[in-house]
Amino acid sequence: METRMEEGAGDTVTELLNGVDFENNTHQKGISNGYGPYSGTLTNGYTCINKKNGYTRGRRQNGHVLASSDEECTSKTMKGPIKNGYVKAASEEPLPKTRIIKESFEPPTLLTAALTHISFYILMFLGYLSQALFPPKVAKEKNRDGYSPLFDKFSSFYSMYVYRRIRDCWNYPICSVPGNEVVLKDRVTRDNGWTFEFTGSKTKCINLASYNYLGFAEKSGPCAEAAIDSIYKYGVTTGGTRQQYGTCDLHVELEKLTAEFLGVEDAITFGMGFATNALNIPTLLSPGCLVISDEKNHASLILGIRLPGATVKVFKHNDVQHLEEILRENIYKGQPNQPKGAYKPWKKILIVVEGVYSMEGTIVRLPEIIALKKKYKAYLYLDEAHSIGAMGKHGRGIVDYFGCDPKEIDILMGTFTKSFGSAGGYIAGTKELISFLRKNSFASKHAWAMAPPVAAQIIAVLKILMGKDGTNEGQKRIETLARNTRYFRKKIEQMGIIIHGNDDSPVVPILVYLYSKIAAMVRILIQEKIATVGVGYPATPLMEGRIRICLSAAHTKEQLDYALQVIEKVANELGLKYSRKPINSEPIEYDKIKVYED
Amino acid sequence: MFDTALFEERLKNFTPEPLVPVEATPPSETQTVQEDATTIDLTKVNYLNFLNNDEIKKACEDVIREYGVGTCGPPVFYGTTDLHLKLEQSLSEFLQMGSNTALTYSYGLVAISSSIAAFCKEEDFIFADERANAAIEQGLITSRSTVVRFGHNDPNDLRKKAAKNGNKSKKYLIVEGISWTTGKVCRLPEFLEVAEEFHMRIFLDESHSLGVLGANGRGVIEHYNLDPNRVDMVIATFEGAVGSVGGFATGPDYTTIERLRLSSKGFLFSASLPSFLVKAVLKGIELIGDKPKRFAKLAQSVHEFLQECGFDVVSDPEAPFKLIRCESVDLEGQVHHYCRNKGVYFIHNESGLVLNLNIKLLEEPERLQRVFDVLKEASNVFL
Repeated sequence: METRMEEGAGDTVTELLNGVDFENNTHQKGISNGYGPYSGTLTNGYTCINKKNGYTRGRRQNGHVLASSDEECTSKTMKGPIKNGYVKAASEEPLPKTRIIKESFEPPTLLTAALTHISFYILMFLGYLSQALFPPKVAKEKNRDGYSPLFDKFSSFYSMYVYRRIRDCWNYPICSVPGNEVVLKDRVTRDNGWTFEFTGSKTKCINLASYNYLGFAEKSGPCAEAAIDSIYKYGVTTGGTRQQYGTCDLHVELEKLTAEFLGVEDAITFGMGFATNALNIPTLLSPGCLVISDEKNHASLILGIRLPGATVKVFKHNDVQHLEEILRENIYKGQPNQPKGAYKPWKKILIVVEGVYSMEGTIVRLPEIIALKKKYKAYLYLDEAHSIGAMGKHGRGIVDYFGCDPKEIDILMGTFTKSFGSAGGYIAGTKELISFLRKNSFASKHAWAMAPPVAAQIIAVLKILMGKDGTNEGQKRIETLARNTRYFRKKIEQMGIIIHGNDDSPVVPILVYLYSKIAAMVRILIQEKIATVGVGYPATPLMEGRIRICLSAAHTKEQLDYALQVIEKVANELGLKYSRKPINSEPIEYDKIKVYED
Repeated sequence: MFDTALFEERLKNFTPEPLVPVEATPPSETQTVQEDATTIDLTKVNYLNFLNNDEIKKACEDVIREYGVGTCGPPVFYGTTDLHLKLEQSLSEFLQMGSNTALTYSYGLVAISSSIAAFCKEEDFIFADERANAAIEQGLITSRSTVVRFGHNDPNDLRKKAAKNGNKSKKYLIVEGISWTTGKVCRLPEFLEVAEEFHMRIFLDESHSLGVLGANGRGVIEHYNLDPNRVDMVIATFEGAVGSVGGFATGPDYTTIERLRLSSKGFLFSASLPSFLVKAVLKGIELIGDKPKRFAKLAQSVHEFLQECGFDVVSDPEAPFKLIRCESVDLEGQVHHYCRNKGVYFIHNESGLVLNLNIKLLEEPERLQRVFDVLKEASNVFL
């Protein structure tokens, strides 16, 4: 049963973004059906309102959508305007360098969606049957007769009869450094997931699961040595909060280096990334403020936004048009619930977005959002947990990737857990902002200062990335990561497997849709000695189960090839080749991929 | 209807507040202290002197050489090492909890607030102390339950409030072993009686009592010789006597604690505690030994001395830190400053003056005497 795909659905969209002044655009309605290749004449930007599947078709200077893949030239003879991901202007006026965004979100066929729904019903039915026939193998709570139960019935049922069947895919213990290979401690379950036993053996697997983008999770080398020295010099912890005698030289040096790395005035660091969001956003907001946050923001951001009692509006994932609509509507209406419907303007408006979204693999449309924020006088909070170090020519994150000015973003936040192989988070911005946070932030007043070895590791990594240690190790790693990303993504697309997200993001979600396929794939991959992460409801939408792969600069080409081979085998076995796009079977050569070269 | 002209006018007149309010006074310099022959450091929380222990430092070095510094992932996705598993076992054994399981968090504050928020929902009632610490306050706000406060460390007030409130809902009681803000030891047996009478579930915060109270340092439950199964959950930070960073949650019932793994946001959505900090706790628990008994003597003698000097000592004799209040904040500041100039450093915060004792003072009687002398002088000058 073939179902026809909607016209244009699932195409890769290639758009140009520009740090443009939206105010000077003249919006015209016009629908064009066929377009020639990009010509040198510049129209002063007209947008075409012909939306299908969430993106516009049309021709505009800013946000130009390419009609065909001829326009994207990667060959040496430059026919089109695009080379290596950048546009060269072919006209008299010099255009600023613009970045191409290539994202794809191919939807599944109707058959797949239907099967996914049915599989859930079957699981629930079997679960209810099991609960009726086989009561739970857990001891009743002692001393608690007559108390109301701690957990509600449905969530108990779900965790005991549905999640329990496949819970061996998660919480796998490891016994080594989480580098490009990781040693798993084998365990078996003899009673369908109620309890686990360790067999005593260990398996070495290729690590496609840990957040180790630049490969700095190492047990030897300059960073580890710096961390060990700091134990003996400053102690395992400093024994106090930042404000009360817990600060040491390492903290001061770390904050200075972070501010220099990001190109802003000052920075403040905390011991945990989650807490950085959850405990600092409330200091900046109060009732009477408006927060507009992306649909797929991380739980720590949502927690921080909900706490202070400000008004929250959500815009569709990465949809700048919807964001603009919400801004216009809310500035027009002012604060809600005013007596007699009077108009009271908001105290402040804050837009909260992430750099790279870890479950989707998408990259935020930063230049457009900066233009919007300037036009509507809002503040911007950018959470670069997954993008700092991993994106950009010099590893300085999304701001570097798009070539924007870091001073235009009001609050830059990020974590040191992913690309720096350490722990903790930071907030960077103007001196006033950071001084305010130093004095008034909850985490600054009550939370323990970052442990010195953790800080020493980050300082060592920052010095390598900035080239201050005298080698170009940092630059090499950044390029290797970009190359691995391109190679891996292109090869997987060639297999016909659906992946989501931007072509440049090192987070690769492979869509498998069915709950059971997540478990099957993770188990088979572990047998073949590859460690991956399966994610399902509630972290992702119910019908979109996925396997999420995190690439790293530490992965060698051989490891990637082996992984691709195994994934292809599993895809054939389990039926994961859902893609209906035409496959470009041009061979991809690892060494010939060009990244970050002008 | 969207009136474009009106909108343009409103947009033009819209002047947002500055992102942060303009600070009139510049931020003060953060203070640091370096201990040497003339300076005595009572600012660091280092009750059993684990921060200076060489065995622990060597163990941490070995762990970094094997596991690296960070774990690069949440515990659910290959962030759990075998060290974490060993720590969970050893914590629940140490506290004599039959469940053999525990959860480790990477931040002390989050350990407490997230564990509370994972259980307590909007329709529940929480009975909390009026002087509850900042982390518990965060947990109360996040959980959005109805909060009923009772007088500090007063089980009778709790009984009165419990009789009036929350008859049909789930009730929770949150107490601290040693209160962070006043240093008083919790009257646990009486609280347990009230809680059992009204069917309240009990969460016990043992951050400052772990390693200090009880014959073996097992905390306030051992101090009163109670049955550990009477408490629903024990949460604590590692930032007290144990000398590390992070926190944990454990309890007597296996299913309850295992369910926390799925519902606690601070556990699921955050990277796990770095391995060397886990090792520091493991080693610390091994080395506790009989230190609590000796420490108790130090705590007692300092408490008596301070009372002789005439200071208003709020904390209990067994408390590992001494909290002193003076008549005014300015007076406290002057005492603080005076002692600092004489080489004895301690903390001045919104609760008062806090002296964090350190067991090594027992082995260095001259330094202990110096502390006593300086405090005596201060009391003569200012009181």
